[in-house]
Amino acid sequence: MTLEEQVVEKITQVLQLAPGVLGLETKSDEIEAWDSMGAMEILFLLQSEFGIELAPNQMEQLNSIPSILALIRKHRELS
Amino acid sequence: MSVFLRGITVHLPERIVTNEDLVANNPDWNADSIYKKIGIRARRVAAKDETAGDLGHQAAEKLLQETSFPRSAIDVLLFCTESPDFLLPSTSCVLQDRLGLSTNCGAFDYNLGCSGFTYGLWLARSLILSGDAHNVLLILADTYSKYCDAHDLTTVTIFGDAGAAALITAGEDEALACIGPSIVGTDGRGASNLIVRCGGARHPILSGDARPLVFMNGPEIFSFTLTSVRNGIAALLKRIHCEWEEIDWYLLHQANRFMLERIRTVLKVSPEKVPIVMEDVGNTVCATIPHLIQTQMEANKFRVGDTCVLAGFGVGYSWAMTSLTWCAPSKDAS
Repeated sequence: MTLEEQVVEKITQVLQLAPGVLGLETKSDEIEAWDSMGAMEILFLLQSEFGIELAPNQMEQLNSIPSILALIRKHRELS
Repeated sequence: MSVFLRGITVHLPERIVTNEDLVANNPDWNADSIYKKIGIRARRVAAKDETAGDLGHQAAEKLLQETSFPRSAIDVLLFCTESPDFLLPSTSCVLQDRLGLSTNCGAFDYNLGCSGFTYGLWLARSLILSGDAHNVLLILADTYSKYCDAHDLTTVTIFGDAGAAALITAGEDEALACIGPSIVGTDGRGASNLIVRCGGARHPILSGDARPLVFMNGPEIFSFTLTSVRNGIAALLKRIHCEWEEIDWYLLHQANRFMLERIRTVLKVSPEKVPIVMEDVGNTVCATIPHLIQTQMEANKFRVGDTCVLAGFGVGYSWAMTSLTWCAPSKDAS
């Protein structure tokens, strides 16, 4: 499974969405369940599964699938 | 030389606001869904004319009566609040008089929220270890309900009001626990994520019917919490030369159930070691850890020799982690 597929699948699970609702270009404002609670669930996923910790005021980086993928790739490059 | 926690009490205001009460005022909300998300069914709310000073006063009176500790022997009063009775003087000065403490007693307020109790233990222990104080009365109280917008789901559902008091002494007699080292930390980059912006000198309130309101950026606070609690506790464990599994209790600031359950996972410790007690009181800011300790004591949970890590974290951002070793026999053992 590619990183992209893995991320879409895991976020689909934590937001309790039907398979196929999220795509590689999806933004948070297109998905009702991706509200502030949803963003917190995604952050928890990123920390527990990918070891990502955000500095203050970086939560806005979690507002789309592309930005989350960029965050994971950057984290992997640095670690 | 060691420093001891001699007693601890909590005072809750009488008025109870349930999730159903909040929904009556906000028909779009759902009481069950509020409970499912944050684990709070009801919170205690101060009366219109009841202040943090009043709640703290009640808690301290109860503590002094329960411990029969001589008021004249208290040489420092610390009052932690973010909702002081007045801009000046310090509420602690008013409390010194209300409680009938000696005029030789030092007294000052400090403005911290959810890290306030553990910060207070750190400060009280330091004062006693310095030799400048022997008996410190730590009082904590907040009335965040007065800062909440009745229609702001993020804050009005979470916060409750309470007062708490703790007596910290150099003497071991009748002690509950020995207070160990602490670590403290600050990251002011998060200041705007939990803030009462208006009412101070930066943004004075000029209109007659306006009042200070609290704003909380929930996701940012969650992000801070996930990182700071684990890192802060890890730093404390290193300081006291303990491993994660050697700790009997992780007594965390009771922010909300959603957050605490996820912190439990991140800490990778047994959930039974991380109690959650806030269902009927809400997040009472600086009083949550005293309330948690009191509840655990009433349930005879602590045993002699139990090691506890206390973690306070929140507004600022500010955090403080403190270690305790329990030394009072449980009621059923005596």
